[in-house]
Amino acid sequence: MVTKQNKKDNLSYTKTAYIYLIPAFTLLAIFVLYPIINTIITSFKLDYKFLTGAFTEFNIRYYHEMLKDPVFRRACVNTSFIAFVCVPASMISALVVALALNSIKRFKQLLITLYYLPQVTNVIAAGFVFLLIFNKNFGLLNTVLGWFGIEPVAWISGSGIAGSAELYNQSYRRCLFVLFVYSMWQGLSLKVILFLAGLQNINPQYYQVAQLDGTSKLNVFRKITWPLLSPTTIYIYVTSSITAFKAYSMVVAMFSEKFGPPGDNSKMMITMVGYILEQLGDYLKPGAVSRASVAAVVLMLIVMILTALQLGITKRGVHYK
Amino acid sequence: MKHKLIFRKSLLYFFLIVVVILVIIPFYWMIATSFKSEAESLRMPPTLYPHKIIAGNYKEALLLAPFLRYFFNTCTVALFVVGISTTVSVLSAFAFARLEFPGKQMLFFMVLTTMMVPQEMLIITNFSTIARLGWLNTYRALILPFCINAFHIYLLRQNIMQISDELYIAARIDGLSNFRYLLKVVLPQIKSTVVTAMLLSMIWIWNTFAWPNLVTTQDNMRLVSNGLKNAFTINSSIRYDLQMAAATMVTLPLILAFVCTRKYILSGIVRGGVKG
Amino acid sequence: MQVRLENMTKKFEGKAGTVVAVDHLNVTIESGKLIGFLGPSGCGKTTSLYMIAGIHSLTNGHIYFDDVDVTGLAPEKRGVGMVFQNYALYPHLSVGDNIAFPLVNSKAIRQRFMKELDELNQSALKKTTYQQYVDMQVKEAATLVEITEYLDRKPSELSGGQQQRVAIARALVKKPDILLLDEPLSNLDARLRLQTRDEIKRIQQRTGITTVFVTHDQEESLTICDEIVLMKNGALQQYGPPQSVFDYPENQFVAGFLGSPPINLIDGEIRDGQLFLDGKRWRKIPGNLENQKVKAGIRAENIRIAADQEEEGFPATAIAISKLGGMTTVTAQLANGSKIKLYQDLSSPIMVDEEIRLKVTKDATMLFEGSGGKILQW
Repeated sequence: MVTKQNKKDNLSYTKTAYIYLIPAFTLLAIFVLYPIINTIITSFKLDYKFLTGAFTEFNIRYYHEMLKDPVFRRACVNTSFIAFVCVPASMISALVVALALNSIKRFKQLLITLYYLPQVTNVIAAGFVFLLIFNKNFGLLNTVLGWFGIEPVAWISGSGIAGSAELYNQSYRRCLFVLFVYSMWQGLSLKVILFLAGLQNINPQYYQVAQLDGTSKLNVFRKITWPLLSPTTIYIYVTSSITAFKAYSMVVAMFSEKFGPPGDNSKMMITMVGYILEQLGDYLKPGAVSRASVAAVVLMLIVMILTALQLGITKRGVHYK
Repeated sequence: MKHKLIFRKSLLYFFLIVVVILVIIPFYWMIATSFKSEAESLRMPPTLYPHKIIAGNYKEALLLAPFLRYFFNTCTVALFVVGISTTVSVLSAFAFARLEFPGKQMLFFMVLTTMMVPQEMLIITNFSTIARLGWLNTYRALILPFCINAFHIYLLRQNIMQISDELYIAARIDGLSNFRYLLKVVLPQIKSTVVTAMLLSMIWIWNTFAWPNLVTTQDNMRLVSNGLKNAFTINSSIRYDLQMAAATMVTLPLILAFVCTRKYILSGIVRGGVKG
Repeated sequence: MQVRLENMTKKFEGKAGTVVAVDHLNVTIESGKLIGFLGPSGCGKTTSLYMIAGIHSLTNGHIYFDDVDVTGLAPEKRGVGMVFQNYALYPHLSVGDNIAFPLVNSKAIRQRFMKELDELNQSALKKTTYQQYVDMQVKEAATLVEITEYLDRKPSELSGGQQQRVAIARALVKKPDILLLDEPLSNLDARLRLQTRDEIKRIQQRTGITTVFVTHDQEESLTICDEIVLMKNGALQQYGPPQSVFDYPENQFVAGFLGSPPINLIDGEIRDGQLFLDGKRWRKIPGNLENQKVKAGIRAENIRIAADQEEEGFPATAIAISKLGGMTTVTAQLANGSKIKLYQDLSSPIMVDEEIRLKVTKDATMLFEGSGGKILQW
């Protein structure tokens, strides 16, 4: 009956504990808790003047305006593209790679190290490289396409889009493609490692039993591997989605702070975080910081919903042994 | 039967190697272009490998922008962040794992929930705070916000909880203070987790862009990431050879560091992930 | 050093209300003795140990070390050495460093030993450094527990028994006034348990240190302890030398807890001065006792089968005979179906289904009343 807590009741040191926690909670209070509350409140302040802190009234007007803002909508579309197209695509690919990796013994460590490289690569540097690879004239991709007799494509270009909707959409699609490839390249690396770890965590006895029963490879995957992998899968999906919603640096690296190919004035490739930071860039303008706060609040809500979803699913629908 | 097995294995290896090549291509292209002459880098179509190796690009790139200064800034910031955040995280994790005090559950829950909040939301107010304090373009602004890391506290706490109660009691009976116990008994046993946390922090500092970009406007205070970005604003006449040289200089140190310490980094990523 | 526990009480606040873990324990532990705190899980023995160590505070009562009230004193000031069930060795240190740990890392202990060293150095020609002094102490402790060959190894390289000895060395190296052991043998396999048990006894006698030993294994305490403290539900059941507690238990619980096989308990009744066992009249009872329902306790080793020539004896039928090692146990059934165990007399063995008559040794029959207290033993 000597519970963990009871075991040392004469040795509890409340004062020490609080002293140890002061640094963490001071930083937490200033850089996390205060910002959360402040941002939420600021999102309601109309005509907020950054320098003086003055504002006219509390209103949800900025929320209305933002939802109607085509740039914000564009940001939502782009961010959703990354979260709901790029992420699943890279997850599927990562799973395939992890499955293959799990079946081999030699060079595994080497391959793992190489696969993980994109994760430790500077986002800006990587963005520059991809920009070059997709360059119309000097790009690697167009060169390779040229071997197959395909004409060079202007991947990241905004020429002529001002006048023609068709050209605009074409340019947009191509930029999305570039983003997609970059996302895959970057996203694969982390997911492969996590999937591999998840696969390695599955008790080999399950496979041995299946082998004795003569189960087909497909069924082994469907009935054993996939269900037992589900906690890992869910974790990867949620964390990757959350990271996707925070996408910013890669877009800036490839499409500059104007969020679009050269010649584009519509901020074609802007993301939600890009929208926030762009509003913030004008921080001296009345109401700019409030608008940024509105976008931040919306972003936070989405992330919180996703996280709650993960906790909910993990607690209920996971196929454990 | 055996032939089928060999065929399958070779197929697997082939597939994996193809993927690896696709992953490596950008790195190759970056390094290859960095050694091309300006003329060669602008050739249409581009050459697949530098026909003449020009090492001078690196020197020239260093002149374009104060990259050495960027490196210095980044290393300085990384040093302080690693030092401060590790100390903060270890102390907090120890308090949560080992000590009993009122409000423990609630406070830890608070720490956990902050893991959910995206940095990007905090960035607005933190920027205001920094600007108001007049800390723009200072090291302080670059260091302090990164010193609180809920994930590290979570990881370290898990690790410390694995040390048996009896070890703690034995140490207390021998008259060790909590701090001595932390230093002499706990730390040696959680060494690898601490190293992992330090490495993850360093990688983060090296690669982060948004915050440094926001709080540093002077060139001499920039970090590698926003420094690199700033040095090559996209216009029609970019020296790709120099750009790639700069990119290589920025990327290589971290890759080397990763290769040397990959055991810690990979195990840390996995530990945070697989257990959920 | 004498340890006196006066009305020692510990209450815990739990989800289901207040739990009394130790209830007004009054025990005096004489200096230099090896005492066993014995009882089933949850009886309060470990809590008592932790209170003596100073890890748990007392809800009520006092603890005296040589008549000094230490009730509120912090653990490190009590001069206590403790050995745990799981050894609690520092995995990152070598065995030698583990033993040296208190001397090196504890301010209070270090001060004490530095003073000792200074006094020693005053009269010595060659001065010893503190490190050398520590090494001497470590060597001494390691020799005592016979672990000197392993000083450079890490704990993970040692067997359970060896690790336990290192733990004992670490507890003793600081020359404590009292040694506390919390179920030190529970994690060892059977053979190692016997071996280490004797080691503990040997070490205790060599050092003469007052030792308190918590265990749930009655055989352990019966063999090595000078005295045992038997507890149940936080309360003291009986206290005394093992043999006398065994032979003269004060209540049914004590009688049933000690002894293997457990004591035979038979339903009985006192009617008009006669004892009826299992419905059948057996013998006359001394003294003037009221009519009441009782339980008769008789140990297997105190029952023998009456030879054919003998007259009296309680009738029973042998229903099972089992052999274990050198002992043969007979299970006999009484009139109303109660089963008891006794030992076979190998010189005139009986068979299954044989009708036998049982005789009991003098002073071996105990009568317990309804609540468990003993009324009579004869």
